[in-house]
Amino acid sequence: MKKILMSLAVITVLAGCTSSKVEEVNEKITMLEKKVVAAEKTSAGLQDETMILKNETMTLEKNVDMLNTKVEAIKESLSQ
Amino acid sequence: MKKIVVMLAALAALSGCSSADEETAMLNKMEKNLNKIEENNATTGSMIDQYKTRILDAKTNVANLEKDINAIDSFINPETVFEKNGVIVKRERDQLTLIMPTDVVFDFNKSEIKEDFKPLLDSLYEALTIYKGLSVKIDGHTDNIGSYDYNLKLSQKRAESAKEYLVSKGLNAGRIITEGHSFSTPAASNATQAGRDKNRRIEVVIKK
Repeated sequence: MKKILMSLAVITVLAGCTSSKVEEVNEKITMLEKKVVAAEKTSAGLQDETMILKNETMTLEKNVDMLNTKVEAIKESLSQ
Repeated sequence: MKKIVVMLAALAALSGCSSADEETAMLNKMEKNLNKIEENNATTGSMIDQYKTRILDAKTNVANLEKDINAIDSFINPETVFEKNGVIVKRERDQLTLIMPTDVVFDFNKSEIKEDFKPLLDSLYEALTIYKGLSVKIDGHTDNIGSYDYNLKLSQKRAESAKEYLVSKGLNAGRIITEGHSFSTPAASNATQAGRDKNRRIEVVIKK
């Protein structure tokens, strides 16, 4: 009986250690979850900004190309 | 009985260990996921920087094009560009003359171009870089106050000064001829103040 009680005590200590480890891991998970949520929010914002800038860039570059072609043609005709 | 108690206790402990392992695995997975999101964010951030650079470049190109368009406009409609700054524009066949009163361009008795007149010479420079086939003659004229020789030197210096400014901007010096006339070629009578004001002038003659 004495041996049984000793074994139970050791096992209980082991179980206790494991339980505190689980708590620690859970805390880390909670913290990580918050970080993931924040990172995903940032990601969504960045994606939106990228789309806006991409459209603006495309429009501007298209206009610049068009203007450039026209101005070059005028310059060419004037320099002759 | 003894064996059963030991087995139950061992099971309880093992079950705790197994739960901790699962949580740790989940933690690792989440960390990997977070790292991936953060990497993607960094890539997107760098894309945003690239777009911003391209937008700045495009805006610079637009500004340069606007300069070219203004330069073209200044010779298609020189009156709108030059006359509002006190310059008289005279058109004769294939020749354009810009008559610049010297008090607009220079301080009294000086041959250094006034700072506020430089933008107008810049317009002239821009136009001449586009109209490459045009040549320029800059004539300096004075009124008859003072000796002929003194005024000759002053008129030459002023014409040279205008040329030097255009050359300093990048215009080929070979395209520009200068000449000082002292008071030999008045535009009006030197007998009146109004006439003398008209006679102190720089004439920029542009022709094909």
